[in-house]
Amino acid sequence: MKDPNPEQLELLLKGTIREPSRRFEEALAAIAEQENSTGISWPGMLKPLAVAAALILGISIFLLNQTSPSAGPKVASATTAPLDREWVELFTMSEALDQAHVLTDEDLLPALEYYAFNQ
Amino acid sequence: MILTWQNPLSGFLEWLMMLALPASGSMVRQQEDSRPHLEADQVLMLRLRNGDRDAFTVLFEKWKRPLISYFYRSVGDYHLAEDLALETAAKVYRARERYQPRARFSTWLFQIAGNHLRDSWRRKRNAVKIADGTGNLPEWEYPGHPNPLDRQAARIWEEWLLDALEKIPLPEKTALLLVAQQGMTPSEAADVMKLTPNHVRVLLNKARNRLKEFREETS
Repeated sequence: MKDPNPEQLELLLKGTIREPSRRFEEALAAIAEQENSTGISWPGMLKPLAVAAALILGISIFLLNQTSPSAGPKVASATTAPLDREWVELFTMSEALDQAHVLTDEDLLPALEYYAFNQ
Repeated sequence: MILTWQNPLSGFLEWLMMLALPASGSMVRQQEDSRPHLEADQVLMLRLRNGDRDAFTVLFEKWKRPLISYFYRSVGDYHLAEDLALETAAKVYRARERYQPRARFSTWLFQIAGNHLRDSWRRKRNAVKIADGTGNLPEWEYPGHPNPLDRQAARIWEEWLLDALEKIPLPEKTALLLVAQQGMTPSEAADVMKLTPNHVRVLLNKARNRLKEFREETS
């Protein structure tokens, strides 16, 4: 009686809970509703545009640096200058991309989730 | 021009159209939804990706109980299991725009659930078990067996199973639950766990042996 036989054990393992709690049902419904009711998610079109703008900005900075090598402060030595410049370009580009992503759903949803679960 | 998925140009065209069109109402996505080999859950997920929030409700009406049951058997705390299931549902919702129907929906869902379980494993140690004799154990049902177990016996065995599962390491327990509880094949469980099918079989064997040993100890 205390422990199940192998067949009963298999059956037990297959079991699923009969009904989730009311708290669960309400929170589950809130996941989709919260997203909609805040009205702050970006329209689908803005995201690719922001990414494209960031790319153009990054490429522009890259081209500007290529065409005017004398521009900017001359602080790096002759041996490290090309490497440093590449890093600066990469960094600037990734910064620009980060900026473009900063207000997408990815960043807003954790806040929305927090609101949904803690209200 | 008809876009076909076999056309190598179509990937580029889809990308181009995704840039040009908002998330809802994309022609390419509509075409993807109607692909005949997609399973119903994948179609629902694609509908959700296209902005149909009702699809989320339908999807989780089906998956909420398996998901809670999976978490409950994993952590042994019902309240925490519901929290983990909710957080997994939120992760699915959050990932909707990036969703691609590359694997079965259940594989994708339990990958998210498994990752979340591992991330949350520390919380389990501080959790208070609901199976503490206060009578708050959830009601269970067993597919294909409307009344297979005496209610009182089932209750005792549920507690026995909780204690037994407590002693099984998480990877073995995950393999056991995916196969025995969720009805996956070892290959499907291997996809979820990102292991080889043979590795899953080994884990499964170990888990079953541990259950057997526990039975011998307690009988």
